[in-house]
Amino acid sequence: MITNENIVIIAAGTIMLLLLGIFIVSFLFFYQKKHNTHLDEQEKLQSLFQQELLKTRIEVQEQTLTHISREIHDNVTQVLSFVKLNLAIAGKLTAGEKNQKIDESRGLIAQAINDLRDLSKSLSFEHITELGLVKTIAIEAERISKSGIIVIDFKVDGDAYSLGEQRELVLFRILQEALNNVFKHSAAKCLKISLQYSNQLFNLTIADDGVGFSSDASLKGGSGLKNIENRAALIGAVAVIDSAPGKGCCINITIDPFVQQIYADGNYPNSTG
Amino acid sequence: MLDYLYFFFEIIAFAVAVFQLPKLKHSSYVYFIPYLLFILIYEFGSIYNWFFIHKSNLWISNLTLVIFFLFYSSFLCALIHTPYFKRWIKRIVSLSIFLSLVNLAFIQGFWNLNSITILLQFAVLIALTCLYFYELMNSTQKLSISKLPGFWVNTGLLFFCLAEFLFYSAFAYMAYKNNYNYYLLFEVISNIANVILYTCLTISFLCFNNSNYDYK
Repeated sequence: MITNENIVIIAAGTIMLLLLGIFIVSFLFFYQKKHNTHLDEQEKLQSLFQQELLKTRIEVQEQTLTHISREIHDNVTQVLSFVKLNLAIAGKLTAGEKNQKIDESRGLIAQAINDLRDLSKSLSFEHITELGLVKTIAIEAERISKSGIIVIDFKVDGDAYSLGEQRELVLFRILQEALNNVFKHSAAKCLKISLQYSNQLFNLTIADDGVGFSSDASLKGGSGLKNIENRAALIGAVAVIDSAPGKGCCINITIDPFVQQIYADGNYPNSTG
Repeated sequence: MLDYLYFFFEIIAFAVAVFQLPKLKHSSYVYFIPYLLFILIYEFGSIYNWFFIHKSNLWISNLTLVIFFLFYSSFLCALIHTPYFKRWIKRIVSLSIFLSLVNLAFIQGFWNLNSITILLQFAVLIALTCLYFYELMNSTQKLSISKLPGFWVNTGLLFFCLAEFLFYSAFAYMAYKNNYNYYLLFEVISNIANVILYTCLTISFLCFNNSNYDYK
């Protein structure tokens, strides 16, 4: 009798153990399925990140080429046309006047050379790896200041370190986007760009003294502002945009330099540049 | 006929392994062919009482189970990638073999079934399969585990050991009572366990692919 009871116990126990086996294998299956889904999502995010980065790179190039085209048209071509004119009328002039025109033309050619030198620097904007973020922003700030459109106060606090090419490229593009907004909408006279490098935090601040805007306006329009936020999220940064009518606008980008993970909140609107 | 159902599945597993030989020959799975041939000879001999000495064929079961353990533990050790786990597996397998020999020589003896050894070996094999599953779970690759031969081998082995574990744990107490129901239970459990194991082995050989049979 006891023997038969034992047999039942063994049979029941064996069934339980087999159920345990089924549980282990099923758990593995479900876990693996979830893991694969997670990997798919990661791949998707990675691909989106790469797409967004490529778009950013192209936009930076476009901006640079637009600037170069404008510079060539507005400055270099004008200066060289003037030199051509000087040379064309030189044959009809007296010796003294000729010398004067030659001196004038020499000065104009020197100016054209300087402008072309500046342009060649502009061509290097995309090579952030070579120049670094600080140098690239400094060149951009100098270029804009020279144009006389706005006064730029550029400041760097702390010892600059590399944030990585991808992050610096995106940060530079954010800056370009912010500058575009300032020129188009703010009517600002003064712009402050500051970079703060500390051990735990990197901070980029772009503040203008323009007309500003209400938070409603920023919500309604301005895909540029949304782009800034999305791009910041893409590299694991936080963008805070603070503005009020008549009080200018301050864009603050904060990033933890040690976090290398690619952040993406899944929101990638088509960039308008 | 149903008594020897498991033998039919063993033949199928062996036949599939031979058929898949060109694909298996560059991996450790090729060792299944001689091993399965040995198992077939053993089972065939057991059915026809080739090994009946001293009114028992349990001595050959003892030897076969040691070979079974050595084969599968070595195979699983090769499947597992983590060097730390591998080191510990080698130590534990060596210790198990040593204890098995001690049991064979001094405790349960050569002519009786070494149920303690079986329990120890099954426990180690269950742990090894779980370790393999743990590695699979931590793999960074995107895996389709149902296409991994290693997964099927481990699944078959896990179910085989789990199914027979309780039976053997009661063996020393029950086997010598000559209870018919116990022998019936043995027939059922043994058949189910073997059918699962050899079906899984057959699947593992079938889903074998030269380019993608392992994970990282």
